[in-house]
Amino acid sequence: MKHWEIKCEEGAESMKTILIIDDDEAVLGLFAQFLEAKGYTVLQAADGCEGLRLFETDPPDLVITDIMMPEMDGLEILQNLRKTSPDLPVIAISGGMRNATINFLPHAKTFGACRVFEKPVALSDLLQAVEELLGGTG
Amino acid sequence: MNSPVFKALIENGALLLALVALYVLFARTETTGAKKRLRQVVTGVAAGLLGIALMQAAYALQPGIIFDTRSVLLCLCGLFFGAVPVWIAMGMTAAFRLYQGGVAAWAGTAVIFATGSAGLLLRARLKQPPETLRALHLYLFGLVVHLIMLALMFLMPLETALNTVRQIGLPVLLIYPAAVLVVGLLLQRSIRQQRTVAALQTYESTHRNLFENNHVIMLLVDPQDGSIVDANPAACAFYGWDRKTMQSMDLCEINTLPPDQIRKKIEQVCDGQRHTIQLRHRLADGSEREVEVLCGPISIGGRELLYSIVHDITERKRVETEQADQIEQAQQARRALLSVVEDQKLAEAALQKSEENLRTTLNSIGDAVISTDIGGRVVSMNPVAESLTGWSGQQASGHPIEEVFRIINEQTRQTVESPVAAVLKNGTVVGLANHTLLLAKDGREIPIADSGAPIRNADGETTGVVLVFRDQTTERAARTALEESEARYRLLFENMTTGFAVHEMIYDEHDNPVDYRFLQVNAAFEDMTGLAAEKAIGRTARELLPATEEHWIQAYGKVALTGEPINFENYSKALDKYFEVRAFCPAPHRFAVVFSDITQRKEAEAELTRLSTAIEQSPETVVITDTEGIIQYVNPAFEKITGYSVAEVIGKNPRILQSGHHDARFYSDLWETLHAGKTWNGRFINKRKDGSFYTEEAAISPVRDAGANITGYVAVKRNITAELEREEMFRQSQKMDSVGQLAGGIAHDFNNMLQAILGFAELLLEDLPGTSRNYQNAKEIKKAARRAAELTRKLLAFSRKQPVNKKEINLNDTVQDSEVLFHTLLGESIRLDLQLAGDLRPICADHGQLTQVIMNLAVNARDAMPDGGRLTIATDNVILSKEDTAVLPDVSPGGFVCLSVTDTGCGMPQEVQNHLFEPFFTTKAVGKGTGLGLAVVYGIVKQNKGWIHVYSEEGHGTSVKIYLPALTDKQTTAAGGVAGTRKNERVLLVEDDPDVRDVVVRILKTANYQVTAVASAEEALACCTKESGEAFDLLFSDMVLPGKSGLELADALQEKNPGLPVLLYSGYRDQRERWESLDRKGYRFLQKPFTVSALLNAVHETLGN
Repeated sequence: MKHWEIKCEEGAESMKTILIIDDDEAVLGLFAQFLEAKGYTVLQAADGCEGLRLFETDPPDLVITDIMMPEMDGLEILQNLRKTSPDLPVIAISGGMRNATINFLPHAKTFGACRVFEKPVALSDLLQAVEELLGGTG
Repeated sequence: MNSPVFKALIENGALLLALVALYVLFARTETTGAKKRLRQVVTGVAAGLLGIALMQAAYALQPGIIFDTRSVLLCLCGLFFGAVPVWIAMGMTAAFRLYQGGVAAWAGTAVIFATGSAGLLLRARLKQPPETLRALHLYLFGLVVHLIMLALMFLMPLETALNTVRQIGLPVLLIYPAAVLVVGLLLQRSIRQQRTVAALQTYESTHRNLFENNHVIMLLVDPQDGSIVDANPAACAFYGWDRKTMQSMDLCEINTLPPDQIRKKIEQVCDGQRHTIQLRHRLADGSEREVEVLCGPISIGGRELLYSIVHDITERKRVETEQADQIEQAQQARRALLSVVEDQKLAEAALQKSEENLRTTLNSIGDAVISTDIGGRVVSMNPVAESLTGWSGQQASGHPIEEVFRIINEQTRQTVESPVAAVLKNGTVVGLANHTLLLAKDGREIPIADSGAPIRNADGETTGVVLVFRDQTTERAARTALEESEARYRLLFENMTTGFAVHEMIYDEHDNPVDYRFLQVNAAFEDMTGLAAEKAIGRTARELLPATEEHWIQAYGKVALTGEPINFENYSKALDKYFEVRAFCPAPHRFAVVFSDITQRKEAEAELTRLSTAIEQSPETVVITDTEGIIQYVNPAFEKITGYSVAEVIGKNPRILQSGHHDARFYSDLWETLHAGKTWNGRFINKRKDGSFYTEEAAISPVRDAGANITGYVAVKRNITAELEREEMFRQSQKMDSVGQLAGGIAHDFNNMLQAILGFAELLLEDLPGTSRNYQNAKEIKKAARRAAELTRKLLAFSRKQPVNKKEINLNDTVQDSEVLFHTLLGESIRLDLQLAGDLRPICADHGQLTQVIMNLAVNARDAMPDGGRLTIATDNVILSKEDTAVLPDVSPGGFVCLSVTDTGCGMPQEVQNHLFEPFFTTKAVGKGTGLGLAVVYGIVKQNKGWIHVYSEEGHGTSVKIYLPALTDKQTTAAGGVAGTRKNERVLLVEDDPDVRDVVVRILKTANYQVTAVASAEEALACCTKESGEAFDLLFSDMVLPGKSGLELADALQEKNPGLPVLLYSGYRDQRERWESLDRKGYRFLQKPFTVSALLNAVHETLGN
């Protein structure tokens, strides 16, 4: 708790922006509320296209994306982000895919995700990853 | 008594006697015809001259009155020589008397005529030949004649007459009758001699005719050296040499006996033993004939010879057995007759001997002989003729031949002209027509055949006819029997359905059989072989049927050589038929075959063999019962499936197999169906000999005979126990898959929901003071969410959708890593026993998943052993064959690693085992287990292409064995790396849109695939030709391409490389219609547009990961 407060203060100081892309409204809202409470500026996108559009209009410091999404999935977003912003920290979260046998988390890493999580992820684990990635970048 | 008168009359009488004796000495035998007339004239003249001579030497009583013995001469001349001689003699003597003149000239002339006429008168009145007159009669005749003579003296003047009679009367009556007697006896004797000579001449002529004209073969042989003196024409015809040649030959040349034996036979015959000998005689053409020779001594012309009468009995031999008795009887009769003949004493020894010999010849021959005189009257007949005609020789003698020898045509019953008449008419030999029947005196009708021939005397004049004939009854019967037999056999030969053929064997120079020639074939032969008789006869097997196999020639060659018959069956390639053959040897170097075409039978047998083999080798059970249901036959499959041997079940009722699973109704339905003549189809659960059960699908049908009567039942049954088990396993597997699909389907949404629940609970916990009630509530929410997440994770594991990190691992490591956990998990009461194989092969799996599997199984084992026990965890290498894996769905044969977890717990009932791996199925108390432990194990094992085998016995424990595919050496080197994706997998991408192509290439390359991208099927094919199709691990192609389509490309590439994985994609919805055909070919399909993850998943799955 203490650690979280320190980070909060640091976050408040720098006001880092985080873009969250997830087609599940509840999850999107949860992460946004949590991270905003931790002092981050949060941009929310309900699908990949919107995510990329927001990324272009207001480039964030970090992107959290769901992998399994219709039309444009997390891997495609990663691929696109890596073209323009090779150093941007991206966290990929997978809730599993209907009737897929492949484990996408390793793929997400090869596509450029800095951290990968399986849903449901503990918020503390997520915050720790965000802080590490943003801390690392400055 | 005047003695000079006596003296003169006696002297004249003596002169008469001397002259008559002289005449008799030179007299010739009797003759016939013109010669006879001449002879009579000569005799008359001689008598006349004799009378004149007597008158010249007469006693003159007084001048002009003379007495001489002319009266004696003339009366005897009239009596013995007949009219012509006596008239001549009377004329001559009368003329001379008148020329002498004197007082008694007329009286003397009257005496001449009176005495000659008296002789003639007596001759005419006699009923017997004058030479047979007794002496007394002759004397009385002389007395009467000379009383007449004395009476005629009174033609002279009475005184002269009385004086003359007084002087001459007594001497005349005393001397003249005596002279008549003496001269008459002399003449009688002379005539009898002449008659005998004539009879002898007739006999000789008859027998010369018999010898010359007889069809019977006759030979005359010199007993001294065995040379042939003469042979009759029949003999020449028979032996084939001309007469001259035969007369120069020796018996040894025709008799096949050794010379010493011939010599011996001749000696026996010479000793008076007549012989009937059966011999073999050689003919001029070298052939030999069976003959019967009758021989005996014969004296001809003072020469002692042997006669041989030869009968060709070759044909007769064939019926000899039947005739033996008859022949014996005939021979006995012949011997009896011969003996009778022998006993006859003939007057003169020389003639007697000659006649006897000739008679013997006649009597000895087997043929009947009748001789007639020129008038066709029977003169003599031999015993055979007597026997056949029913007339004795004595009875027949003098009778016309037509009476004795009555013949008719057998067919017309018309009287046939006697051959005697024909012979007399034409003077030639005539044969009898066929079908002549002799009517015997006693009414017998005897078939005969023979001939008649003229009898000629030495001058060639016909003096009678000899008729030779033979009883043909036996011959006829034999011939008829033979003809009938031949006809029967000919009929049989032509109409028999069995093939028959006679052949001549052909040998090479080493006497090896090389071919054979057809000599005779019957109609059945033609039918069976298809070879026409006219084409076959005279030709050889090799010519007609070049494909004739060697074995036929060898087999027949042996028969023709050894004469031993054989029976065999064989196939003729040349005729494409099977034959049953009997071959035998009718003559040296020949063989005959009797054969039947048994092709149909053979085919039927082969068909039967095929059928029985099929039944014997059928994996399906075949049971045949009688109408009572008693087992008559079971095939080997029955033994194998039921465990009962054939001997154990034959004669039993199939109810020995009843398991008790079916009620009485079931069986009564079965029998009702069968009794109705229908086929019953259904399933039995039956019991083996060992008590175990099996299920079989059966079809039981009535078996009917030709008359459609039910004679039994046949059951064909298939053991479907394993099939049912496989079906059950498959069904179970399908069920598990469905449940897995459901679980996997909801897991994604669940995770999102749980993310929200867990996350918001965490937010609440952050906001709420730790002491508040809601803080605790939020904590519970978080805890439940965690549990729900765990449940979801398990469901994903069960549904094989759990993300895995497969890598090469050693199962032993996984077990050993878990060991530390076991001790806390199992507690003190359970002993852990690890039996790990030292050389265990590596597998490709997720270490964490396998840990989970081992822990779950361990937990179940622990729960099964509440009172403690032993838990054994073992690993081993296993090789499974095709047969081992046949019953397991989705399992290929090969090397496996086996993990077995065995407890000594309570075990499980079958019902529990049936549902063991179903999610949420649990036997544990509520709250003690989720029911997902074994479901997770099942999912993980399936995800790793393995399978589970559970063996459990209630009260004894449970053993769970998990089989996972072992890595091959090749796989071992290639395995490992990241994310379950094997490195360097090469993908051939075919996409005509360059943008899409670039995107896909980038994605695949990012995911560590090696990609070759082309724009068309043609390029792809060129690429494969150049680089070889096997270089690619995957064809990833758009369905719609310019030119050849993606599907066509896939087909073409698969043709070269059948195992090549194919993933096709298309944006067109209508391509869905092709899914079915794609599925059939094993191609996967991806619908455009697709996300990167969908693409990677499709590629991943298509590559078989």
